[in-house]
Amino acid sequence: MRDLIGEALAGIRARVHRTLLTALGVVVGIAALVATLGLATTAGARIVSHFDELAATSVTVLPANDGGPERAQSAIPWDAPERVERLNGVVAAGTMSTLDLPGTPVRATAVVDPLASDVTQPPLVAASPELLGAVRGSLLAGRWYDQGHSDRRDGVVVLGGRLAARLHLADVSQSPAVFVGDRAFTVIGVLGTVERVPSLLDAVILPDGTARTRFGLAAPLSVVVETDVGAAALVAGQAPLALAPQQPDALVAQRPAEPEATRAKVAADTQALFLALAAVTLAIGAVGIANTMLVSVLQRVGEIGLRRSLGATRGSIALLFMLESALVGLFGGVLGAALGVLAVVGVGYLRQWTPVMEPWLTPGGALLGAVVGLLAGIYPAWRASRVEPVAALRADG
Amino acid sequence: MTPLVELRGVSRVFPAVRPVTALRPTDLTIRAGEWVAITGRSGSGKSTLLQILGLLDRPTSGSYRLDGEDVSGLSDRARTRLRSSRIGFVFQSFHLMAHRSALENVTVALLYHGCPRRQRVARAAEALDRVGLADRAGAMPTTMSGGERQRVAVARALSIHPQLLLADEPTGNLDSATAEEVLSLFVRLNDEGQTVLMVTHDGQVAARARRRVEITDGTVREVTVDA
Repeated sequence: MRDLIGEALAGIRARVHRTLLTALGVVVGIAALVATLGLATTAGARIVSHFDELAATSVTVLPANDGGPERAQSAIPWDAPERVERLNGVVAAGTMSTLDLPGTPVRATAVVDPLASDVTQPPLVAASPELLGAVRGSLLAGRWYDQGHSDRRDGVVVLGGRLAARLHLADVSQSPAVFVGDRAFTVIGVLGTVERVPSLLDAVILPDGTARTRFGLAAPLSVVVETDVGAAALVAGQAPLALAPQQPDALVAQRPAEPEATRAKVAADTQALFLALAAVTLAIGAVGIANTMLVSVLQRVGEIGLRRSLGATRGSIALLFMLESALVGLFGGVLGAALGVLAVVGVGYLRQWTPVMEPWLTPGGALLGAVVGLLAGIYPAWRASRVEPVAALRADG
Repeated sequence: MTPLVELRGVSRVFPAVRPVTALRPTDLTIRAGEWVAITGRSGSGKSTLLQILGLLDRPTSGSYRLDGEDVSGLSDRARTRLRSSRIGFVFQSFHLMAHRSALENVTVALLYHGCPRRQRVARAAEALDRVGLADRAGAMPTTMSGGERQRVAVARALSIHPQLLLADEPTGNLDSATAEEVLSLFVRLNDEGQTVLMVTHDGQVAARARRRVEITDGTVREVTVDA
């Protein structure tokens, strides 16, 4: 067997250029396969790792459920951001309270038009000025409010980006107003992105000072804390005590659970499409190898006849050609797997992603190439084994 | 002494709508150490005879004893094994593998002969030495002359120490000077005791053999050679 592999290798070495061209189909097929699977795991890992990073640095402090409404309302003090930020490992903290005001529509115009399409009932959120940093938000236009707005109880709001689009209020330079119930508020900014609490994009956000006077907010309903990586557990343990030293058990610190759905559903459609393409390319590659091997058999009738006259059995001739074909496939598989890995690393470099690949993908790709070659070699090998030794007498070359 | 080759009533008919008789019932005896030339025009049946003698083909009737053993009824596999151990072939078109060195071309025969890997190179080198190409062992066939190539092919046949060396028009692709080079090699090998059976249509080549057999329309006839 070792001898036959040697003979097969020699047969391939004799026709290097042809071997390269023959293996091309397998190279492309395996490269596409490895790149597709590699990019899928890379993108999946990126989404997960991004989420993990957010989750590992996020703590939300809420009133404990069993506390009862009165107790809960008084548990979080108004100076919560200040108190929490004194803790080690806290990057930013802000209060966030969703106001429960049923029947308070938000309109872009003062006219009550029963047919108007600009009436919506978005969530109304009172937030401390520090919240923007704590939720990693960014502004699309205008500005965020500051402590001064809150202290003066100014009638200003910041709209979530999606809500602003629904209300056709993208341009804040004109200081447009929105009506929350009957009261007018000046829109000073529009949120573009919010990494931690994406629901804010649909909300009207107003300073908590304003909410206290205009909507009777008694106390903040939650504190959103951003911590250093790894500090979340520590902060979660200390925050209730820092916020309510007399009754720390009235508060709970929560860390978000993983969204399994995101992990599972990573561009499954595109992946299937590319895998199908890879399979088709591999099939074409296999036909290419079979074709070239068949031509090779016809060209080497003399050599086959000679080997037969020297004592090669039909079986060993068939095995020789199967091996050659498998080696061409393996060669294409190795090259294709290497190219596929390169593609994944290249995309990772360009997009600043960490390339993540299953450890079996590269050797598996190379091996699949060999299997494709082996299958492609079956018919040519059978043809070769049918050559009679007499052929050596007649053939030239 | 048992003859090396003993054909009794051997014939070969190729089946067709009108069957073609390539070889009429033939008796032929070759003793070890002989050099026999088989002559005849193309289509006379000499290649068929060579194929039967070389165990490449089976006779339609008659018996073939090689070194006393009846081989006419052997299976394909058994004949293959016999070929690799007892018979050396030299073909008109040398059938060297173009991308393998002279030495590697010779080792291929030893591979199928079942020679252990370690001994192969040594035995191949020894065979190349016998044909006077010891210094060309690493050369590629493409860089060799026609005479040298045919001598490599002879070395390949000799490497397994065959009882019978079969040559099919060994000088057919060579000019007269290199043909002489190869023929004198056969003379020397025969002097060393090698049994040689050569098929040729060239009378001058046949004249170098110690014994001539002519074949006409499938019938074999001894030609008396003047001493």
